[in-house]
Formats: sequence, C-alpha cells, structure tokens
Amino acid sequence: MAEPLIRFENVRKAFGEKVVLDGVSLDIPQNAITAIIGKSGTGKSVLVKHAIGLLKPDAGEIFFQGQPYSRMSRAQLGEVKRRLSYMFQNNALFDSLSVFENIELPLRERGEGTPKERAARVLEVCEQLDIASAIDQYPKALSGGMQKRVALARALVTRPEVIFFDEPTTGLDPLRKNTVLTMIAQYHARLGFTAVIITHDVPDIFFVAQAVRILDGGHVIFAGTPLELEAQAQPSLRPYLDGQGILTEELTGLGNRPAFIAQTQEVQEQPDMWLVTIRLHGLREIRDYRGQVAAFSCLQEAAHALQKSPLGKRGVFRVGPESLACLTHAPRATEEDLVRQVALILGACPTASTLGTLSGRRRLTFVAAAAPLRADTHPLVQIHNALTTARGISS
Amino acid sequence: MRNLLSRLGAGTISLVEHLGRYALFCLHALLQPLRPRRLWGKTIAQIAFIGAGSLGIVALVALFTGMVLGLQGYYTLIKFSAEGALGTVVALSLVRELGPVLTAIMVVARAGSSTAAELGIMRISEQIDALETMDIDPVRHLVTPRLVAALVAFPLLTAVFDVVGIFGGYLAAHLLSSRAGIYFSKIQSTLVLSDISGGFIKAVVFGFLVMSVCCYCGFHTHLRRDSAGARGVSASTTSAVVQSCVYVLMADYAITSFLM
Amino acid sequence: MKTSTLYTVVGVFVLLGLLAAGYLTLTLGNTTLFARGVYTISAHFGSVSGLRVGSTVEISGVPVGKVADIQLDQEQFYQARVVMQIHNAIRIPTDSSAAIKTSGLIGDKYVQIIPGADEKNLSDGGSILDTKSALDIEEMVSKYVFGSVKQ
Repeated sequence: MAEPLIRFENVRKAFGEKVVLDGVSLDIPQNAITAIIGKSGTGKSVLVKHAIGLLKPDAGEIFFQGQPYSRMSRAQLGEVKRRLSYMFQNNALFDSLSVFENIELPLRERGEGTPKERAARVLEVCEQLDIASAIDQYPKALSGGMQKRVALARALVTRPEVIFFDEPTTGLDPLRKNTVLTMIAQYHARLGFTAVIITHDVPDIFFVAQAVRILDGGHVIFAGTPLELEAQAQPSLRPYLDGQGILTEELTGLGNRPAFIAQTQEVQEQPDMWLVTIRLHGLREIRDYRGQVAAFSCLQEAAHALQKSPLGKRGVFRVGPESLACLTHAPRATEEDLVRQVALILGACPTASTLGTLSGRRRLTFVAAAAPLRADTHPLVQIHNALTTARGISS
Repeated sequence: MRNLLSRLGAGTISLVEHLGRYALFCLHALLQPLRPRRLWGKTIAQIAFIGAGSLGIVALVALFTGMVLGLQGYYTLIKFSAEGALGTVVALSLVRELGPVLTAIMVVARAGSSTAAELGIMRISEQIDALETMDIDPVRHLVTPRLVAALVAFPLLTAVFDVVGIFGGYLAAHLLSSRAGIYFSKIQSTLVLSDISGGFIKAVVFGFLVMSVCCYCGFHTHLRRDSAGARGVSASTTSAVVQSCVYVLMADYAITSFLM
Repeated sequence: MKTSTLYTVVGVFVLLGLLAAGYLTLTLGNTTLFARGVYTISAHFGSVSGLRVGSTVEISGVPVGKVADIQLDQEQFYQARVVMQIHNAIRIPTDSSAAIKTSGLIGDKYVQIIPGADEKNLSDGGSILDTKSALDIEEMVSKYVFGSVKQ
C-alpha cells in the first residue's frame, strides 16, 4: 500500500490537565475524501490542527509524505503549508476586509501572479461558488451559508493539494448542507485534491467520503471505508451510523443508506426479491448549468414517480449522490422487464427531461439495473456491482 | 510560608516567560523589513492611521499644554522678575520632556488601544490562525508594519507637538504681557541641538515601546489565564494601555538620566 | 480609503512633521546645517561659568554669532577656550576685546565683543587676546558684604 499523505503516530496532546488526544494513530490517504467523525469535543479540530502544523504534539509524531514535521525546517514547513488549505469551523474570515480581499489575500501574500491574474482567479472561484454578487461586501453582512462559501472559496483559490474542512456543514440548512458536500465531492473529482472533512453529520458524509475515521475518547475507534463501517455490527459504532435518527433524507423524502441496509436485511430472506438501481446520469451537469435547486427538483420528481409506482412500494432509497435504489417483489420478472418498467416511469417525468435538454449538450439520462437480491452479499456491495453493470435507458 | 515562596517562584517564572516571548516577538518583527516585499503598502496604511490620524488630537493637546505652561511659567517667573525666560522654560520642558511623553500617551490612547483590540479580536476569531495556515507569517503581516509605522510617526508627531506647544506658550505670553517679543529669541539662544536630538531619541524609543507592547498584548490574547473571549480582548486592551503608559514613563526617566 | 488618497494623507503628514522638525532644529535650535556662512574665532577666558554652547555673541547688543565649543585648555594655564562662530559679513579687527556678560541680574550669559581700531581683521581660526571673564555675582556680593570693595 502506498505511503499515506499524512500519518499520525501515537500523538498525544493535553491542554493543562485535560488530555484531548491520547495516543492517536491514523493515516489520511492521498487523493481521497476522508471523513473524521466524532462527537463534539472529542478533539477532531485539535487533531486536524496538528495535521497542518498549527499545534505541536506533546508526544508522538506526524508525518507528511513520510517526512516528520518535528524535523522539518521552517522553510520546509512553509512549503508543506503552501500545499494545504484549512477551512475553519467558524470560517475565520478577515472581517475588516471585503469578500474579494479575503479570497485574494493568500494569493497576494504569496506573490502569485499579477493583480489582474489574481482578480481573474478570485472571480472564477466566486462564480463557481455563486458568491460573485457579494464580492464587495464585508463578511459580517453575509448570511451564514454565504460566509461558509466565502471561506471555501478562500481555501480553494490557492489550488491546494490537501484541504481540511472543519465542520463544513454544521449549522447549514439541508439544501446548503447538500450543496457544500456536493461541491466538495465535485471539486475533488475535478481537481483531484485530498480532502479531509471533520463532521458529525454522519449520514450525509457517506455520500462523498471514501475513507472514514472515528475518534472517541482520544483514540481512533474505527478506520476504514464507509462500506466497511456500515457492515460493522459493533454496537459501539452503531450511534455513528444511525444514531442521528434521520432515516429519511429531509429534502427528497428518500431513505438513506442505513435505512436501505435495514430494509434489505429485513427482506433478503424472502424469495423473488429484486434490487433495482438507477443512476441519474447528467444530474451533475444540471447542477452546474441550472443550479442546485433544479438538480434537486429532478431528483425529487424521479423519486416521487418511483414511490408512486409498484416498484417503490418498499421505499425508494438514495444510495449515492446521484443513485437511487428500490427493492421490489417481482416473481417471474426478468431484468429486461424491470429496466423497461423504470424507463416508463422515469420517461414520464416532465421537469427532468426538460431540464435535461436545457442543461447543455448532454441530456439527463437514466441508467438502470435490476438483479435478484442475494442474501450472501452485503447490500451495498450489491448496489456497487449493479451500478457498474447498469445499462442506459432513454428518458 | 511555603505557599508564599512557591507563589513568588511561579510569578518569577511567568515573568521571565513573558519577557522572553516579548523579546523574541520584537526581534522577529524587527527582522522582517530586511525582506521588504509587500510590506510597503501596509506600512503606509499604518503611518496614515497612527501618524496622520493622530495629528489633530496631538496638535490640540500640544496647544493647550503650551498655553498652560506659558501661563504657569509666567506666574512663577514674574516672582523673580524673570518673565523674559518664559520662552526658555516652555521650550525646554516641551522639547525635552512633555513633547515626547504626551505624544506617546496620546497615541497610546488613540492608536495603541485600537491596535491591541484589533489584534485581540483577530486572535479570538482565529483570523491569526488562518493566516498561519496560509503560510502567511502573522507577525510580519500584522505587527511589523505597525512597528515600523510607529518608529516613523512618533518623531514626526513629537516635532509637531513641540512646535505647536511652543506657539501655544507664545500665545499665552502674548495675552499676559507685552514683553512677549523676546520669547522666540530666548528660545533660540538657549535651546541647543542636544535637547532636540534627545527629544527625538525619546520619541523613537517610545514609539517602539508603545507599539510593541500594544501588539504583543493583543496578539497573545489567547494566552491570558484570567479571561477569555470578548472579556479577554478587553483585558488585553486594558493591559496594553496601562503597560505602555507605565513603560513610557519609566523609559523617560532612564533616558533623561543616562543620555541628557 | 483609496490607495492614492492614503498616499496623499501620509505625504501631508510626513511633510508637516518634517517642517516642524526642521523649524525646531534649524530656527529654534539655532543649528547651522552648512558652516559656509560663518567663520570661527577663539578666545581664552579665566572663567566662563554660566556660558554654554549656543550662547550668543554680540557686538553693541547685536547678535553676530554664537558659541560653538567650550574647552579647558591645559596648555594655557587652565584657561577656558571658547570657540565662536561669527557670520561672514561681520569683520572683527585683530585688536578687539571679548567679555562675558550677563543679561539682567540672573539672565543668560553671552559673549560681548568690543571691536578695536586695527585695520586688519581676524581671519578664520584667529583669536581674540584681550578678554574679560564672567563676573562672579556671588563673589561680588560677598566682597561688598565683607567690605573689601571700596565705596
């Protein structure tokens, strides 16, 4: 296995009498989105502040690409810092500077480019994050969500290799929460940086994270992929999966992955159960060209159509950023039948097809797959297999 | 007894800790102009704030200080029929003592307190940490321009204070007596270069003391043990103002006794 | 504030400060930046008590220069050597005399030069030989009190 980007070895940190990190060892893989989960006050922020060199550990060592921080010179540490960005929990925007100056500051202070080039980069990032209209305002005059996006813009503008997000979704409404997470996932896909997200919005994070680390009582109690976490039966980990009690996505009315797993486990012993998975191809383009709300209404429409059909009787679940799944009891059905059925249901969605056509060169297409539900494979693995073999259907 | 001794020890350790941190802080800030890239604009802005912004209040205070000196000096000197020496009295006390000291105290009240509060708020809202994560040296970015600006602005403000104060004294003398004519020639014949240069040395030293102490207090708001948050900022501002005034007066005595 | 406005404000401030400093040092402090306008002469006195660097040099009550330096001359019977800067336009005959006077009873000491009649004038670095020291008021008063001054 390749050397992780950042590795903690037995890191201990105490503030006075209070031990916050008690021998933490963990690694952050390169080019992936890692979620660090923990209840509030378990030292997640402290952990990450160590990773960016803002705090020094009392004991233990932190390695960046195999190089220990403690043996780096100031210049080397500066080099490392230039490759990192950190988005603070409370944004830490410079309140006496305008939004533009805030975002430009890291570029200007590092002496990157001419003023014109810098302005162009700032404007580009502001356009992408939909804050271009607020560019001359001061942070305090903006709403919480806007401030968050300004902070994100400031973190992105230097084109870092690693970005740390400290509670990026805390205190945001569900729509914004999804926007921020999708944005992170999108940027990650496009720019290929390494992202570390600290959060306690557990169900949401599973859509974007590829690695999960759970911190509790100063120790790492779980390290693995979201799939592995969901497959864990350890009672101590249950609260991190569904302890939030949010089994239905607030916005779309869809079930989420834990709900899906629960439902699957209930029915997988029954005969003639089919797993139907649908990927909404082009949802990302709609989001880019028409905005978040349009994308959501597409998703919502598709979900409602499925829920009203016989296919969705046992619930429709959102199992990925643009993937839906439902379980159906269909004796004597073939895969062909089920896929055709999906095509009929989704083909009747007016908004989705209109928006799909409007969204640029690509149209919104649906990719569906149907497979008999198996009892011997983990439900999420089945979804993964189904999505990779899915065939296109026209909308 | 044991308790008392250990408290004394703890106090001493904390004092030495503070002094060491202060010395490193100042050294770090003062070494930055060796690489002046992108410091110029910020320094200009700080000169405008510390210097130009304080010009009005300094001139006003200087005018009345000079007038009071003229008034009091006149009543004292007339008892010896030496009212001709009024110019000398006013000019010497202004140039050697009151000019640098009162200028420093006015700037502490105006620019020093706001500097401490600004840095304190930046500290508690993690703006200083944010700079650190961007690999922007917060001391270089925030403290050096202020320190350099103070070193430039203090002597200039002091010169303005001296001149306005001397004219204030003249004004008082003119109102009181018709013998104001020899006021300026008296100053010319008694004021020597060492008086003036001593005053300027004081101004430079005070400028450094005031700004470094105010920046230090604000910058290290998070290390305060007695208070946190908004109250921490207020405590930092208070101690910045009190400490810089005390240090200015102490340094004043030291410079007068050693140099002048 | 706009950058250009900022620069103007700072420019005005620095100019004002420099003007004040210049007025203070050059006019009030009586400093000559360029020594071109003056020449120096010296004189030895038995006592210069009360005289200081910067004191004026007068002829018939008109200031013509100032004291630039005061030293103890150990070669010349421990007399005080006073170096004076005199304006170039003022010519002082070689046989002039110098005295240290007091303006008023307790006023400032100054050097008074009483010009002689010689046709030759003192050049730069020349010295006045005929001098009268400062009057010691304390001594005079005690002499008066103890009767050694004849009425």
